[in-house]
Amino acid sequence: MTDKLDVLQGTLDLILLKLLQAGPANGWDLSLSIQTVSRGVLDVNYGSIYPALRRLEAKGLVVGSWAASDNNRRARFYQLTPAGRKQLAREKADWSRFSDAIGLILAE
Amino acid sequence: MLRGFLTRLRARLFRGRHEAELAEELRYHLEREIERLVAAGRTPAAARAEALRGFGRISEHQDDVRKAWRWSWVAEIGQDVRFALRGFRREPSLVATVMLTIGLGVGPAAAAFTLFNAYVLRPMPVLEPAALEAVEWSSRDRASRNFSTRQYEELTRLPVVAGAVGYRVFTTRSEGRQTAGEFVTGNYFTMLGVRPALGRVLLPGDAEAAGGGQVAVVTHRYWRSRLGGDSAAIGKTLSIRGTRLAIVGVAAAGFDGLAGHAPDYWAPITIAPVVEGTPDLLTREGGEPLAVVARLRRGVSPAEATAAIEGWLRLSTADRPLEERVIGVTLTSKETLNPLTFDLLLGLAPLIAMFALVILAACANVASLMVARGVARQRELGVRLAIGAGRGRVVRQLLTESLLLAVPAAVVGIAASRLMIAAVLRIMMVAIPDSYLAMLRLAPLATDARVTLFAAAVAIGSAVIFGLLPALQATRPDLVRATRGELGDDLRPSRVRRILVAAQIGVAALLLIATGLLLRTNQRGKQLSLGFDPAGVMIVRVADHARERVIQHLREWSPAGGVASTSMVPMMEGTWAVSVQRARTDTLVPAWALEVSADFFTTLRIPLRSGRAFTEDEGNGLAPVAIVNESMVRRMGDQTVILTRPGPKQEPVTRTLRIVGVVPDIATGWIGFGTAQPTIFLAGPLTEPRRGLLVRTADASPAGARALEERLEATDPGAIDAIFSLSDAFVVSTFPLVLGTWIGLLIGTIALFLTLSGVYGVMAFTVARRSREIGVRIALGASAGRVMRLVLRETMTLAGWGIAVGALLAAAVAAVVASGIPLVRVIEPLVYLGGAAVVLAGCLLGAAVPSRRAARVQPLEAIRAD
Repeated sequence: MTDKLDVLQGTLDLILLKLLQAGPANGWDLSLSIQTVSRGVLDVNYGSIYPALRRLEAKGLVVGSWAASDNNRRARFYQLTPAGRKQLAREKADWSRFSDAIGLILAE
Repeated sequence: MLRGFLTRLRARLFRGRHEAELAEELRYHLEREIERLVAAGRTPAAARAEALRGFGRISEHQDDVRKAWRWSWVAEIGQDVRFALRGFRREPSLVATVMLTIGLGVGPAAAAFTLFNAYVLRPMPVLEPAALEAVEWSSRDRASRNFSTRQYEELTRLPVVAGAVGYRVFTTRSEGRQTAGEFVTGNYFTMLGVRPALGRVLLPGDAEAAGGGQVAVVTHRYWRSRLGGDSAAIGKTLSIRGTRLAIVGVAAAGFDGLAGHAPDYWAPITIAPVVEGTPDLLTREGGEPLAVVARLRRGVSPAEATAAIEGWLRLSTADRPLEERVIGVTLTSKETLNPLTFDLLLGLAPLIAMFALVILAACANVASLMVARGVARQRELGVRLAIGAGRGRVVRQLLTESLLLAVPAAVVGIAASRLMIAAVLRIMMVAIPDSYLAMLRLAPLATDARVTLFAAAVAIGSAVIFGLLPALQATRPDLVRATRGELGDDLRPSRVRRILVAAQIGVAALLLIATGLLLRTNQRGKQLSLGFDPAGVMIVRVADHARERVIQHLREWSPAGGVASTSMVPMMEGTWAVSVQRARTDTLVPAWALEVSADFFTTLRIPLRSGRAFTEDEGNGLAPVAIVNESMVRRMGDQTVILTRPGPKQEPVTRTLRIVGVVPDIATGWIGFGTAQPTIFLAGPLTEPRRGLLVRTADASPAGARALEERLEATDPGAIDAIFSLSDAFVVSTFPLVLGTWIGLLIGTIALFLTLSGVYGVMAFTVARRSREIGVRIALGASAGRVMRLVLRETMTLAGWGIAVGALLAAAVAAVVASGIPLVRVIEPLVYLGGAAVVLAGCLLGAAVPSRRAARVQPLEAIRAD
């Protein structure tokens, strides 16, 4: 694994949970969203998204199912579970505290 | 969580399908990405290449995903072990500290277990030891009875018994040394299945003719130490009470008979009447010369056998007077030297508790270190948790590290136990006088499979204790903080660690103060005013048939001194427990009693406070007179007492005695019981058989004893059964206290060392953890001294609590012990202060380096550090 992957592993889960809050999506949709929403700043190794999704599924935070995508081909869609929603809220809270603290230190 | 579990389970069960699904997902993504890139203007080939690049190495990801699903225990354990070993190579000092600490904790316990194993757990080296039972019976008038020759033969023929051996222990002096032997029935060796190491064993033929069979088989130990350990031993003779026995064989190594005390030789039972000087020993009606060990028939339980034997004895003793009939039969397992009973474990409970305390202290110490290490590795652990390793997985990995450390710790523990045993044996050799040392026979204290298993089990148990708590604490799910390398909640782990250190300090204080109390008891014992002068007095045990002649000779040779007999030798043997009262209506007072001959007080140089000593006539006639000690006079006055004593037929015997003299308090029983017990001396004859003789001589050194023995040997060969000096008896009397003190010192020192390193570990870690806070304080103007005081103050608080609790526990234990052993005193301010001071010094020493390090923290570096 490269260093880049290491650093992002913890936050990638957070990003995916957040994106899934808007509604069910498949892996390709999610990778597109990341690029778009972050305005190209976040550069994710797309291949890491699928393991991350499987991990989230293994932890019971999302659930996956096969369905037809918008181009009528079969794709796996992921959806947040109630546990996932709770975890998202927790991690959002943590993240904002974290960034606030950084902000305080960086402030003049 | 349940959903996650089910998903994982499903994946495990349908693994093939799962992988296919994953491949399909990836394929879908790839296609969509290629489409997008082509739509954005790339050529299909370029689009494909770019799409694959952005994807990374698929196989790597597939592997990664597979790992998230796989529950392959064996592969994971292998991983854990390799990971742990890599970590250890980076931190050799930690490994060494843990090994040493746990090893020192396990060592004393393993040493004690080696002893326990040798005496209680190791099976006897005979055939089918599990079926062997020692048989005793009791009647109304006597609690423990053996068997006559006829009874033994009848017992052998009982259906529940497959075979039985009889033996009789006999001790005398032979060639200037105490020699213990067993007279055994002819089938002894054949029934037990003991082979000879040299020559032959005793055979049934040796015990056929009455008075015949002047042969002996020696123990392996005796052969090595006294006969040169070579084949020339066969054919040599042993002189036992003047009878010469030809040595025909050496028993196999490791067999030391079935009785508790290892003998030097075995001889046929038929020789016993000759040697002991009682021709009707084996034939006398009502005589019970034989102790019996029976092998139960296969399938017969001890309960069945007990019932059967009792039934037979009821018939056998039916025509005896009522109080001589059987009332009970006791079977004691002879599978091991001492049977493992609940009572035994209960009696050993305090010792077990002490060793457990030391082990727990070692665990607490290492747990502290592990917690500190867990915090230092917080980032690494946090990343692993974030990657997706379950908490259980990480805990398992940390636990594997702990277990891997346990193995070398067990090895260190075993080595430490052997050192400790060697040290204790050395102490025994030095502290016990030679004359008694010759009688000491210890079971071989080898480190066999059981001991090794025990050490390993204790080490592994310790690993679980010291590894689990820190592992659980270090893997608390807290992703963001974890990746930042920050510990969560400050207060909780700190409190746990503080309690651990305080507990260790308490254990060290308890052990050291207890040792100090023992030391003081020891001192008091050595300086105890015995009330008599033991120097120059010899204790002589004489064969009954030669008693009168020996007494005559002794009187001739030591005119200045005296010769006296006593029912029990002071300090060596207990006394009779009796009750006394002034008048029939008075309350009964417990007292000690001895029956002594007329010259007892002059021989021992015991001054008379008032009145006179017994006369020889009074002694010979068992006159109703008594001499009492001052403690008795204080309770009873000095006129008449009525003595009540348990009689031969379980009915108390009462005598009215006139007090003719008063002596000061003297030490009659074990010195631990002190001298202040009311004691009464009864008049008895000098010639009473089987009683010890006290002889005052000019020279009671070992050389003098030898000279006396030789003189007696010349006139009455084989008459002397034992000869010791009373001073030696006194030294032996203090020996339990000496041994206790040394062992307490050893274990206390270990506990102190553990405390020292524990305090060091915790303080060092705390300083490192709070270096930022310390840096801020220094930056704000705190002096180095203030910072040091801060660290030391924390140490002192912990030490204060620990020492207080430890001292209280020590006092409680001392109070319990002192109620049984008056020589121990609970209030010894110097001991408590001394113990507290030593422990405090240890704590301060342990905190010295960390506190200096705290004072040297560079403020800017500390604040900047992550």
